[in-house]
Amino acid sequence: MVSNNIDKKKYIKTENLNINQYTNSLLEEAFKAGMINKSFITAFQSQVIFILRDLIKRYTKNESTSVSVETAESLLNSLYYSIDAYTSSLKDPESCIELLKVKTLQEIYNSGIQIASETVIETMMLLNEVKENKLDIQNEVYNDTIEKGIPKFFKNYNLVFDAHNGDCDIDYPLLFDDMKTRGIFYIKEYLEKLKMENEFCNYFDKMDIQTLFIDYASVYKIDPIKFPINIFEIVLTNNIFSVLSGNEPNIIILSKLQGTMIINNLKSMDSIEINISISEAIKKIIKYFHEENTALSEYINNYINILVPRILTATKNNNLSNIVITSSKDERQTEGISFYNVPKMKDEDFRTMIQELMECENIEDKITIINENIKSLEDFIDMLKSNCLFNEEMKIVFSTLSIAELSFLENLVFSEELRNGELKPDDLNADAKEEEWQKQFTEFIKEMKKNSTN
Amino acid sequence: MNLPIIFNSMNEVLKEIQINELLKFNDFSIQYGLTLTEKDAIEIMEQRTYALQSYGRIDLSIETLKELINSFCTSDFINQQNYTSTLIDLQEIFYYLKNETEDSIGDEELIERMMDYFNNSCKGSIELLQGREIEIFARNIRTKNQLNDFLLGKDDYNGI
Repeated sequence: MVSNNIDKKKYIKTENLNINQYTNSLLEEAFKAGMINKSFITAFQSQVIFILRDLIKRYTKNESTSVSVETAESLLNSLYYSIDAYTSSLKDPESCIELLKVKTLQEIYNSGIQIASETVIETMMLLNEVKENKLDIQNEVYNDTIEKGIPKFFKNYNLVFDAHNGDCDIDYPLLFDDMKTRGIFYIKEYLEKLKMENEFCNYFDKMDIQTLFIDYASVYKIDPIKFPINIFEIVLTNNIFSVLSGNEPNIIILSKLQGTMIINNLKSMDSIEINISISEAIKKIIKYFHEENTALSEYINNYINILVPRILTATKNNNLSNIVITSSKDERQTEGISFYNVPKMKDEDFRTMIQELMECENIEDKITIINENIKSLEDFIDMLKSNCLFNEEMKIVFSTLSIAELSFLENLVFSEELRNGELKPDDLNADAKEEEWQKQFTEFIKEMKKNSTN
Repeated sequence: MNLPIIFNSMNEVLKEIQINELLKFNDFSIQYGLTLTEKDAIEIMEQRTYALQSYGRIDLSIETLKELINSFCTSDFINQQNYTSTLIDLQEIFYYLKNETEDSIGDEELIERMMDYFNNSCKGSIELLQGREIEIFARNIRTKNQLNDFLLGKDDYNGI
């Protein structure tokens, strides 16, 4: 017969543990699990009171035994911060409870102070590393946080009486910032993440980062010197889009053409496809920089959950151009197609060109072929009619035309509408056009006009 | 982190310890003909708790009471009849003064001042001590603290 006195192993529900009141929440859960009883808790609390009493005497330099309730609560928080520093460092909650049963609270508190003080030293060294690898960027918030804000913390930090707090000016936002932690452990975590973000950004040309940052500031109409914005996020986002456009992962600057192509591609995808594309791009980036299985790779992968919803919202609101930051340099002269008043191409040359276009897989190569061969408007329209470009590709080709060339086409396609005066987006109806290229052109112009009024 | 929660659960345990400690001070005060019964000690501790709560203070030891007994036992104005009630008044005045002097004066010095006023200018009158002397004293201390803060360039004074 099986004994009824089987000693069941007791477990603590870790999901109920509070990071900022670790020991107290641990005791509560241990009590619920039947691992400790009320007299243990009472004895524990009496030890807390005795340590607090000594702390008050130290705080008042032995001049007084009484303090205001606010001061006493703050000292108590500081005391528990150090106790938690020790208890949360142990491998599992169950063994922590066993240790609390054998060690005195004074011993645990002393060990916690030791851990916190070692963390202060480690974190000061970490600050020096961050200063050495910081980005060369003209942003006051970023620079002041590293050079002044965090050093202020160390100048004022009191490990004994105020361990849970920390007077500092940390205005520079990280991509992922855990505001739940406090005191020295918060600063350590902040600097570890900042160091990681800097390391990633340092893979790229510093002038490109500065240029990208300026372009970003221009899109959002913010002051790039004073505005608190996470530089890593801007760099990573453009890096991802750059990879999506076919670039190597060490590029973050996007041309307007690449930007348009990415935007059009994203618009044609559903959320699953976007998720897959972004994930694949991130995999390429991580592999390229040999960051597999590092803390940075996990950090970057977590960004998918932010970027994908943002893309979906921007697609819905038709403002993907606010996320895909393109270079402010006008590249139409070097990459676009230009019309001249020249004779049409020979038929054989034209057929060869069409054949090449049909065999070509990416739009940039197609544009190069068109640019090299087509000089006249007639050839251009014949090419559009020849079904060698997909619908979205046509729009990309339209985006490379100069204002004068677009005007030519507008006069051709919208001759009826122009009789009523200036073209308005609501006047343009793609379905009313006969040829596919005209439908695509109508949609392109409509979108362009809507974007210019937003 | 809530002190009242911890205190409430510890209250009975602490109270018993502190009452026993208080009664041990009879070993000293008896030489001046002053002793406390257990009932007196309970009343003093209850009034102490009330005073601390009223003035928003925490005192985890009874060192203050010990210092008050050590100092005021020698006063000619205290006898066995008024011993308990005077101790109750003095501890209330003490905690009131700690707040009014912004925690800038140590316990020992504060009790010395109270003793000096009680024995000399107040001639053993608690009413005079409470209503006149300590108010003037506290006001002077606060003025001195404000001047120090101004000279040192501190705008917020923060206790000791």
